[in-house]
Amino acid sequence: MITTTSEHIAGKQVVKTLGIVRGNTVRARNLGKDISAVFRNMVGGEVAEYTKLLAEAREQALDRMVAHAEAIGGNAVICARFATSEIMGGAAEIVAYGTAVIIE
Amino acid sequence: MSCETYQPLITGYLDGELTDEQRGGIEAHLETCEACRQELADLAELKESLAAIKFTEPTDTELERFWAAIYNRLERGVGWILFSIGGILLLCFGAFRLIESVVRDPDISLVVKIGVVALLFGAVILFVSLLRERLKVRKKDRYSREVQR
Repeated sequence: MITTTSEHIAGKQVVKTLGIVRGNTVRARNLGKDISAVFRNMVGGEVAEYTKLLAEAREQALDRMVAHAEAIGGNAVICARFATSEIMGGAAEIVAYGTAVIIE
Repeated sequence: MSCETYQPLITGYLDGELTDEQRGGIEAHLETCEACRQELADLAELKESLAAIKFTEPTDTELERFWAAIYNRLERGVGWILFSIGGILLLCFGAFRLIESVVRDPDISLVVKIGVVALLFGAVILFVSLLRERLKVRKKDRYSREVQR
């Protein structure tokens, strides 16, 4: 399924708009990784634990959004966006949302 | 005009660096010369594959080299083992002391004693249960396994 941040998909026509689809997740790394992150905060540099954490959360949110779009019969998602909230320290809530459409 | 004149200009033609006059000349020559057309095609292909090469980030190779060194792995492992042993010992000791002080104290009512002990044991059992669930699910969790960044 094509997901895009733009309103138009090059070479295709949107024939039907189905509505908002979204997928979200809240993920945390384990305690060991959180402790490593505290030390990295002291020494500097990329906190790879949290890079991976946010990437995991993004992928899972995207996959859930696509699954929602498939469930309502769409074959593409346009205007996809990400948003984030803070639920607990050390956990990332990411929601991916967009408009499910049928393209030809 | 011969190949000798135009062959050196082929790379310039690909990069768009020729003057209008040179471009006209080389295009006219290319129409007639098979060898130069082939040269142009080869150079165009080379240019495309060079543009497609991606270099791994310098930080990645440094990281890999770091982790390949066994001393670094050993050091990290020893650190974690010591830290975990210390943490577990202190936690168990603290919990034991807490239960002991609550149970031994005659002034605290029985209800509170039972409550504290039940709470602590319940928390431990809950934690173990969630940990087992996570360990089982982790094998199937493709996001933990596959996503790097």
